[in-house]
Amino acid sequence: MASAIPVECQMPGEDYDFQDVTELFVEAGKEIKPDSIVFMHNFSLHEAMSALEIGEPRLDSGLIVQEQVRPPFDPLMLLLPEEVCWVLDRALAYETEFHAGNFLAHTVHTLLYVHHLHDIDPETISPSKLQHDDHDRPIELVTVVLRAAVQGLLKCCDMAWRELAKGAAYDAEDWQSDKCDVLLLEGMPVPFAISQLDDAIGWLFHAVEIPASWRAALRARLQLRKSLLQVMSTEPTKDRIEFQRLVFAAKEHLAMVKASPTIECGDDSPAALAFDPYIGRRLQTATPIRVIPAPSFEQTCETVSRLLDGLQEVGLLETVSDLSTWQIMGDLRMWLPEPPAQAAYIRSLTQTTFYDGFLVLSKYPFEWMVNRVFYETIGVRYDWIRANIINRWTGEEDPPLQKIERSISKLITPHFRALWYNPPRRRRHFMKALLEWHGLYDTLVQITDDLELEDLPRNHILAQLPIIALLWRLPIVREVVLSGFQLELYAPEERAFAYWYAARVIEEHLEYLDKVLPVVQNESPVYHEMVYQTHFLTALQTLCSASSLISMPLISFDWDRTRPNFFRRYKWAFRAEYDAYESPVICPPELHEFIRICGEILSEDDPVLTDYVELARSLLQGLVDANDTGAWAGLWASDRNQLVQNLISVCDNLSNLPKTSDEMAQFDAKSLKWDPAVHPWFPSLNTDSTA
Amino acid sequence: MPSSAHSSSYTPPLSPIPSSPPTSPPYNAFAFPHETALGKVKRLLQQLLRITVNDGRVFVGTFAGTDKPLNIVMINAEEFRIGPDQNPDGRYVGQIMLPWKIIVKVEAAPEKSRPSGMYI
Repeated sequence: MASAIPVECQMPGEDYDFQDVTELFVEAGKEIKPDSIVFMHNFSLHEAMSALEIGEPRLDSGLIVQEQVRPPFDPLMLLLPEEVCWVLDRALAYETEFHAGNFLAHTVHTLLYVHHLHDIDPETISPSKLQHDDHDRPIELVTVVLRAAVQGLLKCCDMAWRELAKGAAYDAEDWQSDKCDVLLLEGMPVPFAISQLDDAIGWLFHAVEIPASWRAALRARLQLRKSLLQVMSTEPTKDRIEFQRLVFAAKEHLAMVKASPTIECGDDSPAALAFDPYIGRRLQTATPIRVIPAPSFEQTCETVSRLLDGLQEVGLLETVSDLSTWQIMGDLRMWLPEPPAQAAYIRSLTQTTFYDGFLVLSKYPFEWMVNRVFYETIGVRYDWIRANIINRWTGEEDPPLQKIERSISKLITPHFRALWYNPPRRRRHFMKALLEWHGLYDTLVQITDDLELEDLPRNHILAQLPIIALLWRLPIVREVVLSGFQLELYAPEERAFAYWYAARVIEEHLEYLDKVLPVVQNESPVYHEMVYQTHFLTALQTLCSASSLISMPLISFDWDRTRPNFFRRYKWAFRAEYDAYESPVICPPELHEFIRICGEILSEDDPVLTDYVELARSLLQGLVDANDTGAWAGLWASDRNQLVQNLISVCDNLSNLPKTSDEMAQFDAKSLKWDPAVHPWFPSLNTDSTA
Repeated sequence: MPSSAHSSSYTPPLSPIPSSPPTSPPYNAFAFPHETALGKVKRLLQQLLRITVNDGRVFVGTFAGTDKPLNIVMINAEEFRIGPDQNPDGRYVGQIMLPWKIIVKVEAAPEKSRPSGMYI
């Protein structure tokens, strides 16, 4: 095979005196005993197992199979304007695939101009190559228009990469950071890339030899790229108005791109050579090559539109200083099927907009956040509570106020950032944080025990300080349990307990809301939100109870299997660290209690499930009729209303549940379908099978 | 050896693991004339190998081990494509296993033949 190597090419390692030992290996192979191996010191079969097998197509990213052999790429090949348009659209399509979590090597880097920017720079290429007679294919389309667009594309990827690398999104989970040693023009200033795009737009303006329709189409694409780059390089917290203006400009340019769709280039077009899906074999990457089909023009426009919607939402959220609104918004994006989950870039930008590591919303210090947490939870600022604790303290040592503040600093900003994690990580974060929330509850219990409260009414806010922690902790427990349905974690026999436990947690939450509601100032936003929560949670609890009852036939009652499954599923509630606290955990999952309840239900008459569903429906309908969306939903009131409407749809579907004991006895629980696309938490009933 | 006719200035940034001293003296094809072939191959462990495979690629890396079917494991390996438009700097591929069926040629670099340099 060595003779196939061109003479003009150098072999690597020419400075070494390499000697041919092929025959030596052949002889040694005869001497090696079967099943024995020869390894260097400190190297074992275990290490050898992780070696990539060369020649195996699934592992060897450098392997070129015969079908993948393609003609060499000439970066200066002349292109028609429609071909340039097609290249730009396809590059944008691959950019959306990068944002969807794919490798750069499989998406953006497949555009070969990315690796040949130097070759199409009019400053460096020889004048002879710039001279040509093809007026349909001016070379400036490549050296000016395409080059500026590719630079803009790479700079956009660079801006996205920088945002994603801030730590809010997780590498290999939300996105792929591997640049494969290909520059994303990190050293190029954004204004320079924008000026290149401006130059290209200016050149198009005077390029009368290009048909007007294609000039407009190319201009629209360059302007979209320019506005995308401008948006991505503008921090919403630094220049709010400019950020929002640029998002709207990008939306307008996207509409112009949509109005001038491209023509599909066939395989015989030279433009088709501009993309090599197997470029990974030449890049510094160990990732096996995966050919990702480019999304269609319509899909790409839709994805970019969603990305811009996400950016617009970040711009709007940035104007909101109410923590509850951030909480509601984060929950709604998880609980509503529309709009679909945003790309990691948007989720990361949302997190860094909320907290940049120093200040909340780039302007509020930690003290503001603590005050806000207490105010939005019970309508009283932390400063007031702190002063009263100091005044009424009876303990021997100083009150553990620093402990409270430390707990809140450890809990709050990560909590809000976690709202924009990917769903499994978000659930894991909440599970882990529950321990710290219990620690805060325990501290508040200790403080309340050492306060002089005899001159105050029994339900005074100072006597109910621990409830503040519970009003945060219990919704998180509920979210952990219900998100298990959304993530399709539960086996059929686990569902009845999960619903029953969710209903218990909500019941506890409602009890604490009832306790603090009388001490909250009437007509205040906090009061309004609590009343809304009371209605909403009562409906949710009723639906959970009904769902638990109808899921009971799915329980196997095989104790040997149920018990270990239970402790594995709810391991977050049984961590040994809980023993370090004096206060017992409020509302832990209790399997024995559930078994007892099941026994009672089995020994009594079957409850009428439709009564539960009707009660839930009437409560939810009441919220809709009163146009009540709580106090903090803000700009997302319609989304919150949609959440209630979706639950009403669940009620309508479940209204066909058995109405009598006889019907219940004949009910087949397998007719229930859990589909997160229909509803994240509750099943739907196949009405044909219940008839 | 065809490659010896070519002039070159490239030195692969590869060397045996510096932290673990070689367990055998440098390889010399003419030394130890009575040693078995297996013994000579064992002396090549932790030494630099250059392996050409049947699709024209050349791998340069540290010889880590082999077995009866002569699957060759290399660590810190780099992949080179020989051709006018190819990347002369190679591509780092790390730890690889080359089955004998695709191997066209195996070459070894005796330690004393290595060029002296700042980092070697």
